Order: sequence, then structure tokens, then C-alpha cells
Amino acid sequence: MIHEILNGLWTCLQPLNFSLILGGVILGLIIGALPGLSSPMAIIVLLPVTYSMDTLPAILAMMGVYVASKLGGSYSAILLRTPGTPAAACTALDGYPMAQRGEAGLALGYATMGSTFGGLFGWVIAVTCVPLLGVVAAKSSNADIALVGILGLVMVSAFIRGSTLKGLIGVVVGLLATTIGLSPIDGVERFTFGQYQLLSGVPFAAALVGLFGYAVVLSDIEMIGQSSSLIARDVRIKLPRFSEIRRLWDCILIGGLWGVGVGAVPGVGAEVSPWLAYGTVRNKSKHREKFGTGIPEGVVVSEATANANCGGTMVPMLTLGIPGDGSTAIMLGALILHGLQPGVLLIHDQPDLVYGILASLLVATICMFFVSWTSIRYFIAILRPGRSWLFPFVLVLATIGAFASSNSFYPVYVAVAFGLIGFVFESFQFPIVTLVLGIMLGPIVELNTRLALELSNGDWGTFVATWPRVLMVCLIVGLLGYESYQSIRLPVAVAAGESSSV
Amino acid sequence: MRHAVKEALLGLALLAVGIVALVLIQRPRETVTLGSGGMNYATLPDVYSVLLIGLAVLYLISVLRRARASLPRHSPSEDNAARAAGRLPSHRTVWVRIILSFLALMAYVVMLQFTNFLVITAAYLAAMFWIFGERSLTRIVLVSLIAAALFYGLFVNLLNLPLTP
Repeated sequence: MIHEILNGLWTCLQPLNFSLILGGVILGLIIGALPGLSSPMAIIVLLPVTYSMDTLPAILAMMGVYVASKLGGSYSAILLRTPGTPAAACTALDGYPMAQRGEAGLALGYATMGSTFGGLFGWVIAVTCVPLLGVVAAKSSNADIALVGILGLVMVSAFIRGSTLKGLIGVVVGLLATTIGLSPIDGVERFTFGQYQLLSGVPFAAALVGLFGYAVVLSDIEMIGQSSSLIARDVRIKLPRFSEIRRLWDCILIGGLWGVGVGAVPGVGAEVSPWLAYGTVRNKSKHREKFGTGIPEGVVVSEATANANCGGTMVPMLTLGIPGDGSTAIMLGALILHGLQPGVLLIHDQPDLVYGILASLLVATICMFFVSWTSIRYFIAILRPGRSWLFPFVLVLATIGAFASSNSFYPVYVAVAFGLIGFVFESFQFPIVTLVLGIMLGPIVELNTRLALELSNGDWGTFVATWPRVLMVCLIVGLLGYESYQSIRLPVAVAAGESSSV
Repeated sequence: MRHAVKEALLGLALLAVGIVALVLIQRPRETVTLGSGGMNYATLPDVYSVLLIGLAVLYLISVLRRARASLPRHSPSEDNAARAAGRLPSHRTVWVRIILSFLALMAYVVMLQFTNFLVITAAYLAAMFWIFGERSLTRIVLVSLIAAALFYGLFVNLLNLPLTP
């Protein structure tokens, strides 16, 4: 295996291949930074360009985009509170408040370091555990995936500050929205009102475009006028000291584990893991009330998770031929277009290709760090025009992004509807993230729960039939109990503090 | 008090959504058979609807309690000071921009299906720049046209998205 890895690295460092990775990284940082555009869209842009290339160089360019877009999404999340990618929405929770305090360079530094170390962690895990993770992923059943989804919904309570009630309403509204369309297993129409477009339900990508594109722009219109305060200056990245990064080792480790672990499970998606990791770090912190106010932990853990996810999604892609997210789905399409058959035999039939792709993870991560460290102000320059200039572009790109998801206007209307819903939520201080999580996890939970019950002939005991499932159930129950205890205990503690100070 | 009224309206809207969802979950005329584990297509929509109804009621109760206690709504004093000083647009201007932006977006989405992408996108960008307060006509026109041309080249020509009817 060492020999194959070194071969892969040598291949990636060839001038043409390295140039393609570097070009992909630059494009990924730009695309990731622009709200409304996404990594899958950027990779789609490369697809026709790579038709004439050999397979590995084509995939290497896409890997550069895939890896760097994760970090690029944090630029606008930190500077504008508008995440460039869905995964970066978690980064905005703490990154934007840091930027508001005048620590934009430091926030970007933490994001860069988090992404780099998370990416390196993901690479190490992917390279050393591809065969093992491939076996685990192939064995993960519907019950496991359902429990991961329920765990994600429970974790959302960890992100709610101020009003648990509003957060729960957001989750339930999101869950209810996912019941539109044909029900899984039964195939019965639900809430379609005779409209054939609604049979396919709520397009997830369109909902995200609406919530993170339209809604954020509408909500931030009031900020037009102060738009350039954070990025008018020449923002220079300020890398944190190594001792500071060492202090945050647990955030990187937790982010890395969640990123790789969730990414390795097909179908759950890369967008979920930053939230899961964020909730984990927050719950174990002695100062959980500081999360969301602008602390490095929040930035590091979400960025580490996002880039570690790249390593995780490689596992089902390279071992099973199953995409972990939209970007890897397009990469699989590229492999097929080049005459290859992704699947369990790929690593045996094309080891050079597989280890070349894995090696490109490392090379792209390192390139991403150096490009970001030395040239971030040029990337931020594309965000520098005031919001009055930037927002219309966001709206146009969001519209095109929603259209491109299925080359029709139905998702665009869905995006507009969710934009309106998101705007109303924002206006009344409902956390949008809860809505997003409900939308993301609803279909996963329902489909996999019902499949698990079908396969077990209605036996609910299937959800505790293995030790990993028992662990997840205990985690869910424990978190619910802990959150309930905290919600009761905190008001009492505050009241006690107030009375003692009188 | 005005905000309490708005919150109450939102609570009622959420309650209505929950009730409508519970009522409208379609059931075929034949007997509904339960799937494995007692679940069928209506199980989770029913659960979510009931949860939403319950949460909406709790929300309304909390809104009413706050209104009775006449608790002040948190309003960032720095923003108010900035608006008073003219550094930020007034609330009225903000709401006008929001409404116009939404209407312009709807018009753009509808017109995109019947009009050339380049033309409508340039017009939309120009309109949005104007709505957001930019007043340099030359700059608006130039940026709109160049940006629309770039988007056209990238998405229509290169990516072959069927954006132009």
C-alpha cells in the first residue's frame, strides 16, 4: 500500500497533473466563495472541458475544486454571513461574529487551518482505512442510517440559543415539508394537490438555494450601507499560532471523525456532518453558551469536518461506486464517461487511478492551504464590492443554480417559496438551520426507518440489534435528557445568580 | 405590541399549517393498511402535524404571556443610532427594498421562461442595483451588461443550460 501511495503522489506531482490540481483549487476557492454557486456546479463546468483528457488528470482537476470549495465557502460565510456552500453555513455561526469584532483575518486563519488539518486527517483516514471503511459502509443498513438521521435531528437542539421552541418549530416545519410528494415504500401521493411537479417532493438543492441564497439576501438588505465595513480593508489572513491550534486539537479530531464517518455512509450527505460535529464540541464544552458568539472552536470544528468529509466521501465512491454527495456523483459520472466501471472492483482493476485520486486529496489540501495563505486577499476581492453590488449577483446565481438542478423552472419556484419562508423565519429570529436540518434529514429518516421495519418484518428491535445502534440510541436518549436538564437548570442558575447579585 | 401582533399572526399561521396538513393527508377510499411496524404513508405526516400544532399553541401562549408582561422587544441600539444618524437606511426604505426585491425576483423568474436570458438578466441586474441604492447609471448599465454577457457565455454557451426559450 505504501508503494501505491507513493506512486500516486508521484503521479500527482507531474507538471500537468499538478497544474490541473492547482487550477482546480483556485477555481474551487472562487466558486466556493461565491454564494449561490456550489462545488457540484463548478465540477459540472469542468466536465465538458475534461472530455478530451485522460481519466486521472480529469479527476484530479475535479478533486482540486472539490477540496478547495469547502474552504472557499467559509470566506463569504465569515465576511458576509452568506455561506458559499451549505457546509459553510455552520462556519458562519461563529465566523461572522468574529469578523464583526474586527477579527476577520483571524477567523479566516482559523478556517484555513481547520480545513487544512481536517483535510489532512481525512486523507490519512481514507488512505489507511479505505478497505476497512469500504467493508463497514457496505454493511451499514437502513436502521443505521435512520439512527444517524435521528441523531442529527436531536443534535440540532445543541445549536439553538435562546429559544428551544423556535428551533423545534423550525425542525418540524422542515420535516413536514419533506413529506410532500410520493411516500417511500407505499408510493402514495401526499400533499401534491394534483400537481405532477410535486410528486417528486421538495427539491433539496432548490430549498437550500432559497434558504441560503434568497432568504439571506432579503434578510440582509437592511445591512446595505454598512456592507463594506468588514472587507473594505485589505483583509489579510492571520494564521493562529501553532500553540493555539494545538489547544483546539479536540475540535479537529472530532470534526475529522464526524467528517470521515458521516461521509463514508452513502446517502447521508456531506452537509450534515459539520452540524453534528459542531453540536458535539458544543455539548462537551464547559462554555457552551459562547458557541455562536464568535469563538475559534466553532470555526475550526466546522471547517475541519467539511474538509475531512472529502476523505470520507471517497470511501463509498472508490469502493462501492456510490456517491457520498453531489460532487462525488459527478465525479463518478466522469469515470463512466471515460469508460470505467466504478464499484468494488475498481481498486483491484485500476489501483493507479484509485491511489492517484487519494493522493490528489493530499496534494489539493496542501495547495489549498498555500494558495489561501498567500493569496486570500485576491479571492476576497471578489467579495469586496458592497452588498448593493454583490447581492444582485447572488440572486441571479442562485436562480441559475436552482434551475440547473433539474433544468426546469419548478425548482426555482420552490427556491422562491423557501426564500420567503426563510425570510419570515429570520425576521422572527427562528434559526433557519433547524429548518435546513429537518429538510435534509426528513427523507433519510423516513425512508430508512420504513425500510428497516420492512426488512425486519415490523420488529422495532432492529434499531437496537447491534452495538453501534445501541450506542446511537443511548446517545439520542442521553442527549434528549441532557438538553432537557440543561433547559431546566439554566434558568434556575441564572435566577440564582441574579438573586445573589442583588 | 405591534411585534406581538405579528408574532401572534405567525403563530396562527403555523397552527393553520399543522391543522391543514393533518386534515389534508390524503387517505385512499379503501381501508388503510398498516405497513410493517405499524407505519404507513400517513404516520410521519400525522406525527409532524400534531407536533407542529402543539408547538404552535405553545408559541402562541408564550407570545401572549410576553405581551401581557409588556416585555420590551430587543432592538439593537447601535443600529437605531446608525439609522438616526443616516448611516443606515431607514426601516421604511429597508421594507420598500425588500418588497421590491421580492417582486423583481418573481418577475425575473417568470420572464426568464419567455425572454432571452441575456436581455432579462441584464435588465434584472440593473433594476436590482437601482433598488439597492446605486445611482450611477453608467456603472449600472456597464456592470449589468458585462455580467449578463459573462453569465450567458458561461451557463448558456459553455454549460448548455436551456435558459433561453
